Amino acid sequence: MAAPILSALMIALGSAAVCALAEAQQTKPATATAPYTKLNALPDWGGIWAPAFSPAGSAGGDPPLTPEYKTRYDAFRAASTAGRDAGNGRPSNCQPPGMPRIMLQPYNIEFLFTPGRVTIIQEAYMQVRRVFTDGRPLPEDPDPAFNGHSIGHWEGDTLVVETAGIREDTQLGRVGVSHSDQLRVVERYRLDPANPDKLMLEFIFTDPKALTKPWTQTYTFVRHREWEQIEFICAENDRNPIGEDGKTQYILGDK
Amino acid sequence: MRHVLEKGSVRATLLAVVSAVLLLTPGPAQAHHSGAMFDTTKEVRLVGVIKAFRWSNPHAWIEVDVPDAAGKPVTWGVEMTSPSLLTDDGWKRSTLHVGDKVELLVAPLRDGKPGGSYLGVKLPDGRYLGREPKKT
Repeated sequence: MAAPILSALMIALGSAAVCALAEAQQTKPATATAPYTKLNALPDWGGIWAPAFSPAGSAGGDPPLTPEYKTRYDAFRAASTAGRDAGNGRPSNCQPPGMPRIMLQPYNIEFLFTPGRVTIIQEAYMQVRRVFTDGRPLPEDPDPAFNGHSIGHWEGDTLVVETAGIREDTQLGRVGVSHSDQLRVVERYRLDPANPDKLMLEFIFTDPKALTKPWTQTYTFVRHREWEQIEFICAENDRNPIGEDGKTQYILGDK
Repeated sequence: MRHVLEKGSVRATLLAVVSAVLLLTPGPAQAHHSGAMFDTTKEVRLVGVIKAFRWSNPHAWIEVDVPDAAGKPVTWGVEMTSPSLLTDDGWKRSTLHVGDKVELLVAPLRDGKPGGSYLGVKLPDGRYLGREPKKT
């Protein structure tokens, strides 16, 4: 006589357990359980970071391009040196540059630390990059994106970011250098040990189709704690649309 | 005031960046668009009257009426960098007003049209912001 009651009880308990488990999975996304207190161990990257690098780039020299990609770059440079706008292959200058040049704009950036991710906000184009530090792998077949898909981890006080899935029509670090869909970008960020208001960024590019070996470029940012980012609305007072000939225009007069 | 003006090495660094962007490149500057349209080896001095000043991002923008050889005013369109970087140089939204008499230093458009990339300004009160003209 106890058996049916016991069975019913076990079924009820089992169902309750399954329901509780399902509810727990629904209400606890992967990063929500990581405590904010862990963030206290991270370095101080507060404030606004302004670029402090020349357009020639940095130590690291010219990119070691494969023959196909070198031909393209040489043609671009020849046109530019002659003062001809070689264009940048984009239909509009309001289209964001994507990785990596989204990090190399003459505008400032800020970093937000939250559990399981670092969020990078670029004033130019009001772009947001999400770097997931929760241990997930890079996606296996990422949809090509301007900023690609990024994961990261901390090595002491250095943030190491890996990005894949960058659209082929972005430029590689320097204006006029193109890349393939195989591009992988590693970024290493750390404060200058001699000056905590300087942030150093080291890019390491690998691309088996476009580069004969990994190419490294380094850049520096300077901190302004009291600044705020301002809006960047590209379409507002846009005097530099790209014409049908692919060249950037300069619109004078009343707009 | 939202932004504290910084003196010393940081300001010098950013000034150097803005100048370097305009001077060092034979090709396009590292801007959000190509800078190949400007001749960055030249500096043109514009003495005139402010017709318009727009404090917008990505580019602040100045229109200035400059008399031509015959004395007839020609409106020049001067493209500037971002308000964030200009603020570090001492600029504010209220720095220029319609009717102000100024001297602007620009890298001119290669195609000869009345336009250029901002390098520096002499304000109505005689103060300089940005690059000052070379003493000849």
